[in-house]
Amino acid sequence: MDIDTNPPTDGNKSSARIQQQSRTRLRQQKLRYTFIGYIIVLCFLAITQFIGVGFFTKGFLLSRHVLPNIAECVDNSCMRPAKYDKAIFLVIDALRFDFTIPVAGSTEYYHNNFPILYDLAQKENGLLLKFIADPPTTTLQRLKGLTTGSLPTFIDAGSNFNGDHIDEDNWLLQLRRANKTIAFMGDDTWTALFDDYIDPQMNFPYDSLNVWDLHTVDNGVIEHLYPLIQKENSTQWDLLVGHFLGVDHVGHRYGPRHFSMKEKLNQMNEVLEHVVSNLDDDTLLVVIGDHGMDSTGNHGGDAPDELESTLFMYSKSGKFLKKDESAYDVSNEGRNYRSVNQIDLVPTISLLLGLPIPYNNLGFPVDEAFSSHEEILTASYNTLKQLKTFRDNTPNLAHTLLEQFDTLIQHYHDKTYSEQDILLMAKEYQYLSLEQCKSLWARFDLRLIGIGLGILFLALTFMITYSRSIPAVRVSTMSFEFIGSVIAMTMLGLVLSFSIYIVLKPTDFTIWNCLAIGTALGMVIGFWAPIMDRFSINFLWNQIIDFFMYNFNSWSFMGIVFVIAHCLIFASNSYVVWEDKMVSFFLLTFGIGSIYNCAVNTELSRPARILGLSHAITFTIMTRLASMINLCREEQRPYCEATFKTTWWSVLLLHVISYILPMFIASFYKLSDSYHSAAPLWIGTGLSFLLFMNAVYWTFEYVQNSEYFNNMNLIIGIPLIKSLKLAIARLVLFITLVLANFSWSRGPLCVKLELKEENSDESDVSDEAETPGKTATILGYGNVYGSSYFLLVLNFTVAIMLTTKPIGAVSISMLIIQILSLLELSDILAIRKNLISPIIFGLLGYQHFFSTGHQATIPSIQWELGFMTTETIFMPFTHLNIVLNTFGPFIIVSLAIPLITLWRIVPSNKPITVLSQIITNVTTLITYHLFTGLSSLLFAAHFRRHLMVWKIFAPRFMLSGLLIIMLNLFLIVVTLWFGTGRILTQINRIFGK
Amino acid sequence: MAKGKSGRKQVSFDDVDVSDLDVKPEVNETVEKQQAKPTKSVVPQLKNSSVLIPFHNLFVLWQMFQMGLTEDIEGTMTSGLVILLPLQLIYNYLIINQMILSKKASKNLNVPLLIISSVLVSLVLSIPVFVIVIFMGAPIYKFTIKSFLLALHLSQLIINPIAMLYTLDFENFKKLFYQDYIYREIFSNVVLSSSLLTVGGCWLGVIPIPLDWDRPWQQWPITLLVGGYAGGVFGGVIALVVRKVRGCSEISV
Repeated sequence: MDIDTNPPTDGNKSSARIQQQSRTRLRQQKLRYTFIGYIIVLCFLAITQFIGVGFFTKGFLLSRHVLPNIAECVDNSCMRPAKYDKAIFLVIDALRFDFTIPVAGSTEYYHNNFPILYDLAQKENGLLLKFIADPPTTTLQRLKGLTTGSLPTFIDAGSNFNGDHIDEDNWLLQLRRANKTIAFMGDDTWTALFDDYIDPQMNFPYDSLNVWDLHTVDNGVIEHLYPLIQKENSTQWDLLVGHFLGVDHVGHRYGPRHFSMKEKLNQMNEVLEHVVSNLDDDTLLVVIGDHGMDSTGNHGGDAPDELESTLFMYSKSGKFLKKDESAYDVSNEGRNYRSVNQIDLVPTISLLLGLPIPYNNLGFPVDEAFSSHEEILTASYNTLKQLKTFRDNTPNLAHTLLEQFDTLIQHYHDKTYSEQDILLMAKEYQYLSLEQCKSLWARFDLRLIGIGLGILFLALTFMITYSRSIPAVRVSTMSFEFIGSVIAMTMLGLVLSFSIYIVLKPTDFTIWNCLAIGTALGMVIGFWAPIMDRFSINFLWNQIIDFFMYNFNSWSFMGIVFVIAHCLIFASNSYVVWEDKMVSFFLLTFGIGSIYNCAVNTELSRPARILGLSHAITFTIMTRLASMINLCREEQRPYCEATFKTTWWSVLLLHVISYILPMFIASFYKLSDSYHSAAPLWIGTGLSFLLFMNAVYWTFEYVQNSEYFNNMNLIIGIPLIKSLKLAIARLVLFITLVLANFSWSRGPLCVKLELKEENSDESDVSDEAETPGKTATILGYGNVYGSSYFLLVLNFTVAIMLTTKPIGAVSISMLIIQILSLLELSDILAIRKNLISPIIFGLLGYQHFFSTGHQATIPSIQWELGFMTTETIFMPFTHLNIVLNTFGPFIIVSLAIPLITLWRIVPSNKPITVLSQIITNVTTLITYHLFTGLSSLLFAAHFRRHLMVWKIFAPRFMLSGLLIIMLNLFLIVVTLWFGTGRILTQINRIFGK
Repeated sequence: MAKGKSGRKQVSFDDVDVSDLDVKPEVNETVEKQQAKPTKSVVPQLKNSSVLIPFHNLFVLWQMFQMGLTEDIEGTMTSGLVILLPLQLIYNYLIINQMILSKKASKNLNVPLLIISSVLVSLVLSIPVFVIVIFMGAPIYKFTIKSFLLALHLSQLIINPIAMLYTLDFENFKKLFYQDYIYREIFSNVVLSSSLLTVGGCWLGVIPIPLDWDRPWQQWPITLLVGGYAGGVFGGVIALVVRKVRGCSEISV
């Protein structure tokens, strides 16, 4: 593009320049001022939203109140003499029940490879049962349940990473109080929970969360287990706990249908053979699985596959009182096999080892674990007594089920009924008690939920007003009024809520709750005050009407329809389950709509129409292709076939992409003539190289995991591949996140100065044109902002592509092309300022969230990618990888959102106007997410008694809540503060006149 | 049940700054406009619109369900098409007849040739319709035949009447997009309006598919078919209402 400026006359030149300089400086100062104002206002808004999400979460994910009492048996009346002196307690993580029983005709790697348990259980001194876990099926929850006998709460699942210290009564604590010695080896979750009770001399924890490491934990356990069970060492301990993780890790890493599963199960078989052959006569061997795994090898939910695991008991001297043969029916993968609840193990093991039953226990002894009916009856009597004590001391339970208990105790003394009948009645009582506890503890704090929803609703109404209702020009001048009044009102709110707390002393409200409510309300009032000062409600209402009257066209209609439809999705579990398809359908509707519009748009010239058509078609094709990549959630079966798998061709595609994607991006740059200076370096060199490194990383990963290559005995050993992978991952992440962003902050431009000799026009560009006879053309002038800003997007994209599995990286590269063609389209179709553009961006984020192998479920979180850069958990890096992997598409989209305004515009004389348009788009994106978020929260609260709440609605609300927090932070810090701030000041400094 | 969703574009995306939803408040404006610019509508006018509401859609749909659409989708949709085609021929005749009556089409037209070729053209154009259906998310490998049958039905319902209305002169059709108030034009013409709402109905037809009711009628592509057929009838009725309203307002002014 040519720029012609009339040079000032010689006389005025210097003074004019000084004047201009001061004016420029003034303008820059003003820009900076406005910019800071915006950032602070958005921060306040974000805080309001965080408080809302926080309240809701607190009310929804209520934690259970724990009784601190410890069971004591002064007169030994509540326990029995120990049947076994010692016990070996082996946990095989994720040992699903069907792994251990014979499954005729199955050729799966996970069947028939662990026969020892079933074989031993055929004798009368062995016992194999199906073991039903309580959801959530995460190891920490299970260990708590298996030792305390109590029910888990959902909120603990999130703290699996921290491994909370246990403060409830449990049988390890009871053992310790009886002066027994506990030896431990394996999963370090145990150490986190029971560190106080384990003998420090015999404590061998191993890192549990590195799920890509299949052998370290197991080999460690074996290394310490074998010597300790030798005759000469067996006097050193009374309980030996071993926790194997290999089976679980194989599941997480490869899924159960992988040849490593066979190896692992065979190894476990050998271990047990060894243990059994070295077993003392008076030692009880207990082998359990803490949970199962689903068909993808993950766990955490409440599907039968995840809940069903194994309980095995064996002793050389003992005898188990087994039931009828038909109870142990292994046909049909053991569907009708007798099952016991996981918490039933707690009273069983306590009574067998001669301990008091833990105070909070809710379970009932396993019948078969005892050798006579007599024993079972006393065991059940002890358990009933313990249950009664527990219930008497729990406020909400004390006054119920009293009659049943009394009649039950009467029966025990009268012996009018047979032993079997009494046992049945006792079980009935325990069942009722358990169900009562379940319903009681699944209670929600509706007040907190309501407060959270209310605050979010207020935030949303303000957000709509801020982003769409008030003219953007006015908003830019109002920031400091907002800041003043928000600070004042927040102070007021804090003081008021504090005094309310002091005066009224609400019993069930903490001071922090009060202050948070005060802050949030103060902020909302603080936001509304200046608006009400300047505008009236009438004005705002008229603004809305004006929008529908004058600015309303098919595009905005479409945008509103999408937002409403997306919000309504949460009203039904089916639509939440199929959200991935719905989002794709919306995007495809937009794609086809834009093709149609380009085709019939009468205002476009022929070349523009053809260009527009090609972009629209590219967008639609990419959207359609990306919609074909999916990971099925459990509820989508059998109508869904997962295509998200790591296969040889997906790795190959990565290599192809490392050539093709830079080419595509370059061609988009060339369209606006801006593939110059920084662009070839960034895209042609940097991007290609880093994408190639990604491909190499995933090739190594593939080689390391494939059965074929493992059998080939490659020259490069596994350790070398491992360290190469670590090196590549660290290098790529360092370059993209640190180095490239730093160099970007120096301000790369994608323009080129072209001087033409023969032109006679008198024109120059600032000082750079040397002689007046030449014409200087700045190539890429038409897309100065966009071409430079997009390089920042690319930095993050490469990092995200590394942390995404191969087929997901393919989807991310489609996202980049979608974004670019969408930007071109919004220029051609003139929908830059329409609300459809940010909404489509928001939808793109969702689409690629799903197509990078995620779903709104807990098992679909790809934990294993946390260990790309470090071998163990290392605070920021492990978490960074998981965040990049999970929220990657949203990050890219929210980073690209300013491009709606910035793409293909010439340097503006009014940077503040550009900024205010960017803010409008950014806040519209936040509004969109707030809409969907609020709706998903609302329906999660509404369906809190729904059968599917923990499976469908609760995970979805967690995703929404996290998205609101993550997007606000990222948009403010990276997109606005780092990205937009830099680019606007930079270009204003260079081109600003 | 196919979980891929399909349908076609829902509305025309034109940058006309007017809402087509609130017809009433704008009536006066309309009239002024029309007075200022004497009727120069590019849409062929029809004499008696109520004849042209595609009520035969309902018959075909009912017939298909009678024949067991939910048990044998492909077979029934094929026979449904066989029923639809002669009815479309009659419908085409009605359209051309109305146009001749309103003197929009000359009597010299070769009516039988036009009617038959319009049906044939729509049969051929079912291929692009099929492509669009696939683009909108219809499953690619599975259900190909069903999707194609859907495309055949849709192209009969959408393209055939339009082709007839413009007597296969698509250059004329293009002029529609140069109109200022495109939706007003569309919704006051029975044929155009029913074609547009066939598309809309089909788009909305995906809504019941994901529900976990496990009903036989949730199978692909029954809901879309029903949506399309019903949308066509609905569109015809809407157009009639719009014409009534506009007619009344013209008289009152």
